[in-house]
Amino acid sequence: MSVTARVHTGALRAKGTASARSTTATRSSAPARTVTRPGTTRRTGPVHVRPQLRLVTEPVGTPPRVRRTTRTRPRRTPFVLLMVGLIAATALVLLALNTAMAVDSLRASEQRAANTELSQAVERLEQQVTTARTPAQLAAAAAAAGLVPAGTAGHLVIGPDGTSVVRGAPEPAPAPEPAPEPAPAATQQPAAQPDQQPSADAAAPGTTTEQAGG
Amino acid sequence: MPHRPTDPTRRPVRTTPPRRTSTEALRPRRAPGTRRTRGLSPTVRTRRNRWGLGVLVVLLVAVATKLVVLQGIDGTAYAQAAESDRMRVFDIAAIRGAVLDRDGNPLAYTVEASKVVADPTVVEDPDRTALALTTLLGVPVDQLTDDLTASGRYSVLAEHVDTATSDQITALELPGIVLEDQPTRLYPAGTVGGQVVGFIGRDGDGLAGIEQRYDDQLSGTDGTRRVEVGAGGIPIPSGIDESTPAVDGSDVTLTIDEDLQYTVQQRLATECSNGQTTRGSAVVMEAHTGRVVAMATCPGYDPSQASTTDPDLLGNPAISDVFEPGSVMKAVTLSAAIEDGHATPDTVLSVNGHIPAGDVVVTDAHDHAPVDWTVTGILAKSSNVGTIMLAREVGDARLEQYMRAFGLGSTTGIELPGESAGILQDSADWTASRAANVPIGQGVSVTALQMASVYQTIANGGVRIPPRIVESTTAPDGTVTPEPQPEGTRVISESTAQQMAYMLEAVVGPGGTAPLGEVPGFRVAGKTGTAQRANPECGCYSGGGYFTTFVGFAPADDPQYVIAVDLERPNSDAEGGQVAAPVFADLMQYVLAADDVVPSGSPRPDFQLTGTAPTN
Repeated sequence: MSVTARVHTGALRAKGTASARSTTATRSSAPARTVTRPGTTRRTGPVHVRPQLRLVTEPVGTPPRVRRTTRTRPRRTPFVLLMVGLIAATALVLLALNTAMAVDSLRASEQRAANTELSQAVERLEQQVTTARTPAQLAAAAAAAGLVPAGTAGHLVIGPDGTSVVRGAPEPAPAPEPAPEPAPAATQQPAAQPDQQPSADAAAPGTTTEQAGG
Repeated sequence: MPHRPTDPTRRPVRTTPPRRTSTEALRPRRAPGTRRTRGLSPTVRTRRNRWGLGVLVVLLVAVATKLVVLQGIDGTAYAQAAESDRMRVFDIAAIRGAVLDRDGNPLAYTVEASKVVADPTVVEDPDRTALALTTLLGVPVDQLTDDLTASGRYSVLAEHVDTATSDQITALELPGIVLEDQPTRLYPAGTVGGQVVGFIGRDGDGLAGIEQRYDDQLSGTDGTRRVEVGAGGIPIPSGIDESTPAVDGSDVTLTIDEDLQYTVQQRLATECSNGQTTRGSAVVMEAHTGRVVAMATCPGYDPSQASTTDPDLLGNPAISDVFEPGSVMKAVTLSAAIEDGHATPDTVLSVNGHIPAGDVVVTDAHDHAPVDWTVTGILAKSSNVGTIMLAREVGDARLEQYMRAFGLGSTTGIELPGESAGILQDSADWTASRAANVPIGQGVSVTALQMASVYQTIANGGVRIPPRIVESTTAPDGTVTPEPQPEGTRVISESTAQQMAYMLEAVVGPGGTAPLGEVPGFRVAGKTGTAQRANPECGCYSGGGYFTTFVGFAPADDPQYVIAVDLERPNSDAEGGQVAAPVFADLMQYVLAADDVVPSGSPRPDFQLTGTAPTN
């Protein structure tokens, strides 16, 4: 086994060197081959062998190799730089976008909260208005202001000839109950009160005529 | 290599002496080709390889299968489980729609409010927390402390807390105090229109009135919001944020006029507080449209206090309680007589003071010798005997037909729950006494609304329009859907209706039963009614008092409004013309003035109440 192994390795080495030489030889030492080989096939060999070797190696194999190596090497750097730049830019833009989104969402939730607060304020105010506008509140406010419910209404109807007719049976409204001494009215109109209070009892007929016509 | 290794498992590499040459590093340490020459026979190695391959394939298949199972089959479930871990779902409560009067004034609406809840296990200092909350919530400190130290993890401190207060509570940042959304229903007008609007229960379902009937439209649909949250429950900005918006409820606009409703209720409240009237109802209706502009019964109730109100009061007696209408029914009987050609307003009848009917004798209010009254006179004087004489000419079956055409004995179809149909027996079942009682409004029961509807028919030229109380519904997006307008049905001819209006005007005229029903400046048509009230103690009429009613419309020559007033007076023998007519007049005066109705100015005709009976 060991013997054959040795032989084998020797052959492999020989092959390796031979092939290495032959590949280098193809370019430069084409004549050398023609010299060595004719020893065996002198007459017929050279004519057929030469053109075959040349056709395979020179025009097809070499020129593209030369071009690739010389041209691509200097251009690789900008490409890599471009890629790195793009990646870095993407990362930065993503970061910026994320930040912007976070900021926006924060602002949105802030504004939502503000919105809710405002709508609640509106709701509260509307509630006050609604409560103050109920018939019971209005009636109380009217009574406090000294108003009385109107009786029947009179309507002045103007005919085509310009004459007017009173329709209905208008009556003077009754005097507001002199119930006064009302505490709310006194607190609301402190300045006018001293003048009005004595007349509240005495001048009831006067107020009646003033309020007639409802 | 003198000794060839006999053991096939021995590594040949070790037997090879190391080479110490300059190119040693480049040379394989193992002798070339030794790998293939290991001491296993090719068959064994192949088998082992196969086994190894098999094991690897099985493992890979197992891994791949698990992957497929994880990703393909169970994938959705796991993804959902993972997602649900990150997702928070918030309910968005739909705001219940408002109930509005015809001018858009809210009778019921919902505002945001909160329920203040404590988790006693989280509350750090119950005493300090109670002190901080007591003034805000208006709850005594002792009670708050009890609630804050209660067992369990959920203790309600206060309900229906308004937004201003809840903001202050939030600002205090008390540990363990949580605010929950709790929309609150407000009835700003209180008792005004309460019986019509109804109320809602604790769970927000309508339990009476419009709140019940229009619950579907008012309640809307709750929405949800699903948000992907990160640590601490803060929503992830770019995460999932799906929300199904809540659809708020629709607003319901009534035909009720809030001011008029208030006036009606004030007037009835005055009546109910006089000690004689235990219950009084009034219905105000537009003559030409059948729209109910006010409907009330005293005593009423405040929907916001419904949970603490006597359940007997939580109804709408104007449509659910029936009463015997008495003489107001005579308008139906006389309409039938005139429509069928048995009489005209000027037909003269010799009316005795009493008339036998089966086993009873029906008398007029005061028995009298025979008098020659016109049909107008019979109505103006409210003669029972004259009416029964005319009813007998009409015939029982035909009279029942007219009564049903006027809407008696069946529900009116108004958009309110709990309406009563009243009681009207088939004429085939009428006994002789019943046949004499029904034409004068005894032995037949109606609601106040049905009575108003009868007079609406006469006021509207004989066309009955079923009463209704809902004008339209307004969706949250502003679309207004009007309630379908019911078709009118002709009950009596226009000329009959005019003759009836003429005769009803005589009732409030000189010699009529209800001069107190007059409205200054206007011509009023109407009819009094005084029906015996069944005494609940004995089931008989004696000692039961009376139902006094007045139903009418104005102006008589161009009717605009119909008002029915019905007062239950168990301890009084006053007649409708004395107690119900003034209520009618006050209400009619207000509604005509409020609506700017201009009187025509034509004088009230002179009525021929008596005449000379034809001798036959």
